[in-house]
Amino acid sequence: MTPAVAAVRLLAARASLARAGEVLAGEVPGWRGAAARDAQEARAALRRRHEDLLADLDGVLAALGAATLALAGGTPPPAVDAALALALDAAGRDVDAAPPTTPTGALDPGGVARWWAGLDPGARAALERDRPALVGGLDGLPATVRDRANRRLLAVEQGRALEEERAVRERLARVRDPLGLVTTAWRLREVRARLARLGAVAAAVDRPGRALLDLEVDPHPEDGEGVRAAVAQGDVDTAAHVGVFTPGFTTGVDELPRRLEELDALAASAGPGTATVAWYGYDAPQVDEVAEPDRSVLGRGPAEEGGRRLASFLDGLDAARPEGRPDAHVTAVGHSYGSVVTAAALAPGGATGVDDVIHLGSPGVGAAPGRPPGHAWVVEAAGDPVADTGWFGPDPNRMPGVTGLSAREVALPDGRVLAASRGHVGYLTPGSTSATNVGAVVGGRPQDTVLDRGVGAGDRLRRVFGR
Amino acid sequence: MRPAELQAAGAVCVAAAEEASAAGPAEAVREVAVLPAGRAASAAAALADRWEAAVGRWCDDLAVHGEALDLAAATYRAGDDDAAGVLGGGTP
Repeated sequence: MTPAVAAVRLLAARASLARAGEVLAGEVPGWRGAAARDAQEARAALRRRHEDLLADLDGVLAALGAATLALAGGTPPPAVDAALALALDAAGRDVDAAPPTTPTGALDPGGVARWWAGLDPGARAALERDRPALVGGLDGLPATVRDRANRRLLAVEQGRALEEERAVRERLARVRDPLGLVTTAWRLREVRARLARLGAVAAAVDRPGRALLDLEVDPHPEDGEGVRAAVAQGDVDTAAHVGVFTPGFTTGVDELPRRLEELDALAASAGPGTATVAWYGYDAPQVDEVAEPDRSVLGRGPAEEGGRRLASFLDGLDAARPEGRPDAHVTAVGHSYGSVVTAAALAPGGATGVDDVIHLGSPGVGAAPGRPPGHAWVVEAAGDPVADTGWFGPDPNRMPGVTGLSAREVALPDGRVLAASRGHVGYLTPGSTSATNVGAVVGGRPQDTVLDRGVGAGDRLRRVFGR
Repeated sequence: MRPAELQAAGAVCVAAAEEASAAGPAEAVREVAVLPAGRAASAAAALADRWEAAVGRWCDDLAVHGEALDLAAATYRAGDDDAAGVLGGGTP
């Protein structure tokens, strides 16, 4: 693309960005008080950053214009190339450096908890009744409140999807043209898939002790499968130990019932006072998204986005605790691509209340495992090809400061035999050495773990080939 | 202050954030080049990445601001309902 074409396109993009900033002009009419002042400060900060962005764009517009004129005037292209490179290198730095601010700070889990505590019971009840999607999605609110709100939301969404399914089915019976048939049939498939996913969430929470801590439904998702959820077994607000499991590639809420069974066994293995959470709160990358740069399992896009969501959820666990109750011992457990998400959530600036991290079958977690030595763990089963890829950085089972947990068969002194895990998907199989080890860490008993770095044929091959 | 106005202001911010995120200043420059595989081409790609992140963050924060306004509106509305309930209950 020539500098002239780029300049035209950038001019159009600038106009669009400038329009977006116009919404920050002025105040909300008639709003006074502390919250209004906070909102004004937040708007002023956003305006400043917006002005900085536009100024940066203007600088590049000028450079593109100068390059266009220079080329037209016969300046040697290598000289124009060098000059334009200098200008482009200097742009886009130190813009948008201000931290995000919100009017009340209410979307930070600690702020949410304080805001909720300051409401009178009537206001809380009204919010729960009228705004279940808002209340159910706020990290930092008590688990019982979120559970009630999200169950209401689930019922509403199931009813809506059922109604939509009926309407689309009737439309399909009336359509005659081929294009209409195809699009309506596709729509019916989408609605039925959403119904099935909502049904899976309903089945997962339809057991004693389960809590629906998060539910987000997007009927027409651009990314992912359109239903995100987090389901707990046990009371995360009172448990002494909380394990939060994050899944990886190709996963979705449809597997929640089966996953919860594994997490039930994990909690039992961890010991009394343990709650577990199946956190399906991000759009896990799917097979049909492999070629999309922003959504591919081969890239960090879904992990970065999921990491932000997971960090907020994890910070909400401690923030939601009743006053005077000590923080829980929290362990973040990431499987496969979920370990990349987990590491992103625990990166500097991310979640602060996590005590231990366990990476299962990990394709790499970047430069750091997320927690310091003694609190960062890895399990690599024999025959797990994903865990040997090192796609997102060094293989965690070879990183300094990361302790390997065994996934091999182990005979215990009391005569019990813990089963070996093999391949990529059996790390939490009840009765396996791997799941027992994970339970010991989640339950705050690392001294009971069986250690093993899990170095196998894949690791040796990789060493031979220098990766 | 009417909660509906606050809620509307929040919705406008969220919509503007969506519009701005589609504006694409990053994509406008990503493939600019003077010479094939020249220095400007690689500088443009790097700049596009920086802009994509910066504009994305600003849009995210604008949306968060809008959602916070909506949250504040809901809080005020809940408070009004509560007050109305108290006043209604006290009327003979």
